[in-house]
Amino acid sequence: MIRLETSLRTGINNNQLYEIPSQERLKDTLVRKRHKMATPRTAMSPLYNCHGFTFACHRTRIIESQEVQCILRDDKWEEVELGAVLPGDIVVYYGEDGDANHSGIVVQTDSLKVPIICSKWGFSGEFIHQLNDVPNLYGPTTIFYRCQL
Amino acid sequence: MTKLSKTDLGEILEIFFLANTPVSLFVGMNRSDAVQKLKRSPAGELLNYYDRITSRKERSELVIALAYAVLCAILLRAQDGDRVTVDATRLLWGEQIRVRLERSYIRSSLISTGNSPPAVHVASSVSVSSTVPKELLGPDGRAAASWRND
Repeated sequence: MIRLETSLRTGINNNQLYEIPSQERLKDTLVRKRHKMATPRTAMSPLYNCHGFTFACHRTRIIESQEVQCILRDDKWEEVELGAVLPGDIVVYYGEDGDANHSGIVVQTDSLKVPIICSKWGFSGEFIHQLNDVPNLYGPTTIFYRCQL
Repeated sequence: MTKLSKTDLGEILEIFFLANTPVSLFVGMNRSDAVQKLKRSPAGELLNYYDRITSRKERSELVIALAYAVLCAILLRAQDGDRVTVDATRLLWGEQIRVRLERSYIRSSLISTGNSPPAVHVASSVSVSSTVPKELLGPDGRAAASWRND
């Protein structure tokens, strides 16, 4: 665990992992094959997860939904409509139970205003992908946010 | 105990590999064929299996994924009333999954209506009593003839 705080100095629970087991390397290959349209950006890493990528500069893993909500609140991330999304905004994918099961950063919007996202997929690497081109474990609801600090 | 196919094992390994949070790991496992199959086994057998695989000194990632699947099956069986004591802390996210599931179990138990199914009464025939007044009554109980526009 590293020291991680919001702008209001609220501590955020996190943890780091270091091992990359062999079978996961095989699984990584499979995942990459399945999402051919997604561009791999980095190799796999257990050190950080999607929320660690979006909110903690790749440094650690944030695994609790309430921690994500705390960051969104303390750091004044305000909702943005899909049509108004700009690069630099973030997207949080929510499950049907309200769990923030994935997140990423908007890096581009295409000619049809479809956001292109950079996100980290579990133990796998970072990918540049279209909003809905993600494993079906993520979503189905997506909400965009812009920091208003 | 229910045997899992290679496809089942591949599926749970992928869920374990891609899950970012304990809740999404549970949701993914719950949706998987592997956990649905495991759920059919008796809780005692699942618990023995869980104990065996989690007490191994060296646990491969496939064994860990399988342990999560078995844990989810045990906890889901517990929700159906087949309660056993399981040490979820043997897995990194085990306790978070157990607590989360227990909370949702308590919440749904609070609105439980018991084991007996709700009684449904269907009228097989409609009988009209001879004592029913033949006169049409208004909302105030007075006969239509006596209504007045005040």
